[in-house]
Amino acid sequence: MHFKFSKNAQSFFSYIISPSGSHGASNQNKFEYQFDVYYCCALIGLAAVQLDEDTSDLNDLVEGYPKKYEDNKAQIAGLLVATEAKRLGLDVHSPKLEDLMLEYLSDDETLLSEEGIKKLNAYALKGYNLIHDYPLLDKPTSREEFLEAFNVAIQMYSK
Amino acid sequence: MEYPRIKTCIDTSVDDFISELYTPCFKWAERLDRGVGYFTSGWLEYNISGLSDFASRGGKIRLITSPILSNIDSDAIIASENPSEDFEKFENALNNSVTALEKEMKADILNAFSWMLYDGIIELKFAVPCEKLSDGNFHDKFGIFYKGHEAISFSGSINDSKHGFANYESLKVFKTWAGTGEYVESDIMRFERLWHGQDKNLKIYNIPTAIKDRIFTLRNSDRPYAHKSAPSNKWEHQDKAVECFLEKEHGILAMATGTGKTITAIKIMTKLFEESRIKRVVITMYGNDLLDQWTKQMRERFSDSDSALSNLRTRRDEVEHTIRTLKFKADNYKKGIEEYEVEKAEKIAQRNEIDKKYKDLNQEKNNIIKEIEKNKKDISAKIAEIMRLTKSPYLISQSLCDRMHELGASMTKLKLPKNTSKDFFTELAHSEKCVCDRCIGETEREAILRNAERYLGSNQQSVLNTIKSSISGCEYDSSLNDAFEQLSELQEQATILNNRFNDNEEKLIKAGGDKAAELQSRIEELTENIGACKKSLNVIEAKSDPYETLTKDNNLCLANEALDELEKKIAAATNTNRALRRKEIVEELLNRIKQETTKSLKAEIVRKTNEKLKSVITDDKIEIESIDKYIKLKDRAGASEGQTLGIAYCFLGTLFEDAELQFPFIIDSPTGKMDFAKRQAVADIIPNVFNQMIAFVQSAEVERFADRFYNNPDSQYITIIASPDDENVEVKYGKDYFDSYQREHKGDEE
Repeated sequence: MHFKFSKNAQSFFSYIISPSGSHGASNQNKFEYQFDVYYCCALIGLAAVQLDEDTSDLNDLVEGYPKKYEDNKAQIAGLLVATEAKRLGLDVHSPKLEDLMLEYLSDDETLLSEEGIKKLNAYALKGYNLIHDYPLLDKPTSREEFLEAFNVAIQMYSK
Repeated sequence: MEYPRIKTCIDTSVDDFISELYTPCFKWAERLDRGVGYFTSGWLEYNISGLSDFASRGGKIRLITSPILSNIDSDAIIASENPSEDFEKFENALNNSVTALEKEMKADILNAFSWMLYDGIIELKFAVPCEKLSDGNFHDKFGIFYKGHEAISFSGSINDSKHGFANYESLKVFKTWAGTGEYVESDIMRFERLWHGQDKNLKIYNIPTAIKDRIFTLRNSDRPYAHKSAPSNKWEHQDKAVECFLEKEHGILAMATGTGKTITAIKIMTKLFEESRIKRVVITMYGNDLLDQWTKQMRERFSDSDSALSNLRTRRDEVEHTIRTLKFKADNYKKGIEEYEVEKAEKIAQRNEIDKKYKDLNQEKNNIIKEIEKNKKDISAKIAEIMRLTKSPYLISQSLCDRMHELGASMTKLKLPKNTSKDFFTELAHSEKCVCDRCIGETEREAILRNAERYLGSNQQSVLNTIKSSISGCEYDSSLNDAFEQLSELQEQATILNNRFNDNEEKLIKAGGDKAAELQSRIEELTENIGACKKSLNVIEAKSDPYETLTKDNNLCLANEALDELEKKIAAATNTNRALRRKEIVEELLNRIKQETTKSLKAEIVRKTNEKLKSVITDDKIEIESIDKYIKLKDRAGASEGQTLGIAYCFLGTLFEDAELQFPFIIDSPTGKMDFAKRQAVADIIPNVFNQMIAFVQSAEVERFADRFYNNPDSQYITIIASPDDENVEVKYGKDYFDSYQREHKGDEE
């Protein structure tokens, strides 16, 4: 199952993300992986506890986590389940939490089930929409510009 | 002198070569030297108007061009080692070109060209590359217009053809009066070297006589311009022979009788003397006729000292003018060098000042760039740190961290993952007895499997455990927030650095990046000008000539030497002239004295002769009127034989009367048919006329002549008797024998 990101988002971040497989000198001020930007957008969506499940305009990004995210995949899965529980308003003592876990988690490399990845894609899409609404109105031209906006968005949209 | 205004660079795109170069130059110049790869009728056609005017003023064109040869012809000529064979091949090849000329050239242009060649207005030579250039063509394109000591040279890419004017072509123009004289001189020297065949990689051919003659036949009766001098120079061959001899420095003049070998030799000698190439000459010949011819022609030639002196003075004036011009140029160059040096020093000082400011700002710029680079590295490192931290979601914000902690707490409270797993019940369903030892039937088995789905498998338990343990250690801290703040600071620092960089750039521009470049460009220009002036000055003032490029026209030292030489010649010629004048006066005086003396002498001879005649010819009045080549008698046309003899004795007697030398007067048959009276008179006068006389007399002359001397004691008589019958000759001395023998044999002579 692929992580997926919207085509518009890929176009919007084209100045700061390397085309897949490209690692030249011209990519020095770009993120190493498109997944980096996807992940930041997903964090914004998760912080805001908002998702966008419109999958009509999604592109495959990557199958599985890039290696450098391997160590954090359990925390990411945990955050996804906690956020979904919060979004669905589940009581922390509700046995339904176990069902939710069974639905989103798996023993896959990513620790996420297909449904779990779909949910993370939906949060990433929403995160992109949020940061694009504000504060990143124009296409970012540098990583620092994006990260500054990311920091603002996290603080602004966190619940 | 009024100079034509010609641009220094002309191109076919912007300019009209005819109206902007050729027409004004033909109008101004006296001569044109042109070396051009291709010369065609098109150029003549375009310039015919300017050329006609130029030709009418006596202008001359020396043209070196590339012959249009086929590869076969060209190879044959280059390969030939025998000059005469080589020339023959060349002539054959050119014949084809003339045929093409006849076909292609417009009639009026052909006529003009033929006339100009005929009149010597256009002198044509052909260049064929050889040696190391044997694979190439003569492809040069340059020319020099001359007037007096001034000249314009031009060189560029254009050929003298119609096609040349249709291309994009350009020319650079140099003038002796516009500070580019050295380029003009260089072109002139190059042309002279080519014209005289001194470039070892080019064979230079005169236009063969046969080809020339053939072109001459292409003329019609109308010369298309007014011609200054005689239409043809019948002694042209002599001038060519002179030119050829001077070029080769030796030779034999093999010329037909009457075509001027002596004159040509004298012309060569004159030229060699004038150019100080020889000091003396040895002339040898066989026989007096040739000696007379040589003497006459040498006298004619060299006694024309006024003309020679005038020529020498003209040449001296020219050299003096050249020296003045060279000195003027040298002064200008020196002044130019001085001015350029002053300006250059000023510009260098200004540039150094700018350079110092510029250097400081450049140093600052480099420092800023280093700081910017460091800042970029710092930002990059900070971004890497941020990206590393964001991978831990609990560090994003306190709320996210709390959310994860709540999940962990719930899992603990719900005892997730539960210890009883789906695997236990699946295994139990397939056992025969339960853990409580009751038997498990089909109904129980189905119920156990159905409810096993409510429990997690062992792999799912492992996932939950992983998540639970990863959450359990999560503690939010400000590290990510701090990193963002540090990134922000670094970005601010980047902004400040960029502003500093831009400010510095503005200062650099103001401090004179452009100004320095402008100064540097001017300094380089001044350096070039100084170099060019020094080079030209060196040529003018050089004392030695290692490259043999100096001439009396471009070098003061040689010009002064030439002047000294001419002064010496003028002095010599002036002295010669003075001596000749004196000689002429003396000769004239002598002639006049001679004439007067002759006249007086003749009058005296006439007087004395007439006196003698009076006593010799008493029966007639005979008087000499004058003597001029012959004796002219007064008032009569002639005289008898006896009278004539008498006149002759009287005349001769008078002549010898006052002679310094004494010698015998020998007379054979002295009386002839003189009658007795006259015989006696003559016999009486002879002792008065001649101091010593030997007379051969016949027997008939004894009476009244020989016998008149019998009483003269100094007279001696010899009788010579020769017989016709034998060879005996008898000689008898003494008056007596003479008298008796003569009287006895009177009449024997008959």
